[in-house]
Amino acid sequence: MIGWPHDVPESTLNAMADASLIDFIYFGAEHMITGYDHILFLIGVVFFLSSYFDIFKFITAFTIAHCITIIFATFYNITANVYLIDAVIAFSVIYKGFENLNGFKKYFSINPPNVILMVFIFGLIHGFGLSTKLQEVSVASDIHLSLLQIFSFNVGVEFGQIAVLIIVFLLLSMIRGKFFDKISRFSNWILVVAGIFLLVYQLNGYFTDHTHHQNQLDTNNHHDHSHTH
Amino acid sequence: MNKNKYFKFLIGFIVFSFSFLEGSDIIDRKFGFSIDGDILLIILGIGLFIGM
Repeated sequence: MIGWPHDVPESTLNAMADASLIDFIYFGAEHMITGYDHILFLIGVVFFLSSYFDIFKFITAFTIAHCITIIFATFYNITANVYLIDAVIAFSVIYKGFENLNGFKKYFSINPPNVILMVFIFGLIHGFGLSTKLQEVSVASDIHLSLLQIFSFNVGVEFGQIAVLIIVFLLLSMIRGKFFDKISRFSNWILVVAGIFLLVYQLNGYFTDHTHHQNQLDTNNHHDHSHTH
Repeated sequence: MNKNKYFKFLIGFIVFSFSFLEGSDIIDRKFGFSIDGDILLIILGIGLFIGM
């Protein structure tokens, strides 16, 4: 069954309690592959890229950025409201679709902000989202994350990202042809609509899920507790 | 309002909204002082109205 982005199955929570480093790699890869807000953003990033060098450049910027936040935010126990961070990630999907549709020129008569810089900034936010979720899972599974476990999770995220990129790139190569203009317009509108849908869904969660505050309090208590030893 | 100003306002408002909501969540977590979601929405709505 397909869940909402970043819903973590009960089985994963149970498995995390006595997980090996391989399990953390698996969890990272699984989280990347099933977290379709990340996939939608990656589709947006590579949509118009056809040269391998460009793909390497943009994906490297995205990867460096999310590695920074996954490792540092998790290691230093920095969290944000999980709904809000996912809402910002949803916004990044809208932004990328809008930019691909040439929306900045069309609707605001301005050039879009530096593309690679924006991919880097949104990469930091995606990494922060992944880190927040990893910290929530660690609390739910009652484990204190070591640096090695965080690295393993990060390696898993990269494996997941490579798997997603291979599939996305193959699909994009297949649709490059006579009708690419029309397909690209349609696909990027889908990105925008999907992003709006996810944004509304996450904001609705922020305003209606009151149990979440308790979970976050538990997260803080868990971290405070772990620092006292 | 010209398009460029409108764009700047929109970006500013989006950044402000997320910061405002996160700030409210931090206050809730650190001090246990919960602000009703409807009030947050009203404040943002007024901000948007004035800005426009």
